[in-house]
Amino acid sequence: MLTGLVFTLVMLIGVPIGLCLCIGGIAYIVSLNNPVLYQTYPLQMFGGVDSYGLIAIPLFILIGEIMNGGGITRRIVDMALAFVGSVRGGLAYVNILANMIVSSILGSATAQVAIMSQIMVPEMEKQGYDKDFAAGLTAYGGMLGPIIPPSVMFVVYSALAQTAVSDMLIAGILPGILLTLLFFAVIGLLGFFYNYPRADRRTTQERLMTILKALPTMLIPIIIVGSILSGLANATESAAVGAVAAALVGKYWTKEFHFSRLPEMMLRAGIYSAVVLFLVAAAAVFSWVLIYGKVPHATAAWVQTVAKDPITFMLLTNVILLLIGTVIDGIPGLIMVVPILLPLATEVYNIDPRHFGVVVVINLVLGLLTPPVGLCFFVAAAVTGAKPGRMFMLTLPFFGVACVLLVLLSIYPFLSLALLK
Amino acid sequence: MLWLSAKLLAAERLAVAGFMFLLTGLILLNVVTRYAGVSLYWVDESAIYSVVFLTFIGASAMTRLRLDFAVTLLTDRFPARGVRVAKVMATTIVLLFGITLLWLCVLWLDPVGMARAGFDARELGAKTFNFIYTERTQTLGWPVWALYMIMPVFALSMTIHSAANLVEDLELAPRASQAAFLDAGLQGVN
Repeated sequence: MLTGLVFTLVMLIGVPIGLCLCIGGIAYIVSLNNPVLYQTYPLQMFGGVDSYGLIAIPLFILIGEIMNGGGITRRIVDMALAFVGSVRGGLAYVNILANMIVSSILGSATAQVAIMSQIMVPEMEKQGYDKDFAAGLTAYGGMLGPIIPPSVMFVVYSALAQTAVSDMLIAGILPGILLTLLFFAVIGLLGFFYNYPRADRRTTQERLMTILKALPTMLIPIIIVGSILSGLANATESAAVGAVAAALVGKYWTKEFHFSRLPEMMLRAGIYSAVVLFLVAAAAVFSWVLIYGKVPHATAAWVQTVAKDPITFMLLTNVILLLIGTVIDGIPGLIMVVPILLPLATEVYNIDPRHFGVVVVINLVLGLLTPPVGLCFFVAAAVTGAKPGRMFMLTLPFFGVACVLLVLLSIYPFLSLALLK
Repeated sequence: MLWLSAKLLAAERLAVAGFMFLLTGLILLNVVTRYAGVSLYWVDESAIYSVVFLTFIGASAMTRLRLDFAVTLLTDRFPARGVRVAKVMATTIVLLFGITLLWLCVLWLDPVGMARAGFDARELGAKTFNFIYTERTQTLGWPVWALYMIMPVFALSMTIHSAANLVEDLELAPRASQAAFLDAGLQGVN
């Protein structure tokens, strides 16, 4: 009770969320006044990041930094443009398709939205799209970042749930493709009603040339996946191999990456990794306290009185997560919710932890696109000058289909588990 | 305080970039040596501790760079004066947390007890059941207490940075620009 009160109070004052978790933990051990807990506290924090799976996070973030600095993203957008061609709503499809391709290299929604907004929104605006719609659509495209592998959120989930990182990454592929197709369907319908502009007409030769020019950038996801499948690297190590591939493509193909800028990129990747990893350390302390206080037990008892079967439980989880997602962002939400709900899901309702992880991660990613705290909208707005409130309203159909996907994923586990052995 | 924080931040930037290079190098070394059939057993553990150090050194720098996630849902609706008061309160809480964590580290590492035991780790373990000074890591064979020292270092550096932030929030000094990071346009890493 005291822990929850202290946590809520410091969070509302504006204390960083990671420290709110740590302070909530301190409030709990003070209320118990057990000397052993005082001594164990720093060790719990240290132990929270003392895990092999988490090594992938800094490396995935590094790939994004190198791609951004190496002009690789720009080539990918050009390639998507050449693929889609002159159809109604062409640039809207290009936006989602390019985001899907970039998602296969990047693992973070906000990083992706920041990069893609700079490129896609001015281009769409030039073609006659509403700026707020273009920015909103790019934010939804960024949603694919943490769903299609690699994914920082799936790595964090794996560490929390003790599941294999590679399993989680593979489990995200099919839902990611489904979400892309659903977004395409919405663009098709909206384009029909609102008469979206057509993309510039290009000759087949021009299109082929653009694709050929951008094709080497596809080496990066191929090398990442290939290194895992060939047994050269595991899921964690593939991120380092991918970073080398991105640097080489940027250096020798796009010629925009310079090794002299590597220390600066390393520093930025390191600091942004620390933002995530510190949250994981703080969550370790918080979940230790929750377990000590038998909170998962009490929550389990309540949920069991409401949900009698796995499907009801999954749907209830979705409602809880959507509510949490409106105020708390992805990774903090993940590390607060998983220690409470996962034991229930696996032990009481016999739900596969990987299936549960897919639903939880996608739901919390959608939380990045829900007001009042929709980080992806804020990032897109900061980069383009669009209005977050209007962005949300104009892109409501995309929110709707994402919710439909969540319901489908909750009811049909095979949509998440089909690609796993 | 601002001077000390700035010097500390400069050192932390170097350390973070250094640990990123080290981590990438170690992981690539692991891939290459395994491919060549001469796997090095200590690389995984070294990589894990690189990430642990990266986390806490980076988290300290993040405090000064004000890059961490916070819920500003309520405070954003406050008038300008209210926003300032909330910011000062939040920074003060971070400062108090830093001091508390430092105290918890002292309880945990028990330097006083160690001194009383004549710096004999076995003697301390026998008296207090605190075996930190006798344990070693699994593959590197390093004493774990040396690695655990990152926690008091983190607590101390976060205290210094949050004190510097407080000086700025109280408008006793102009707010230092962290433009290099803001230019990146990345607001988090979900």
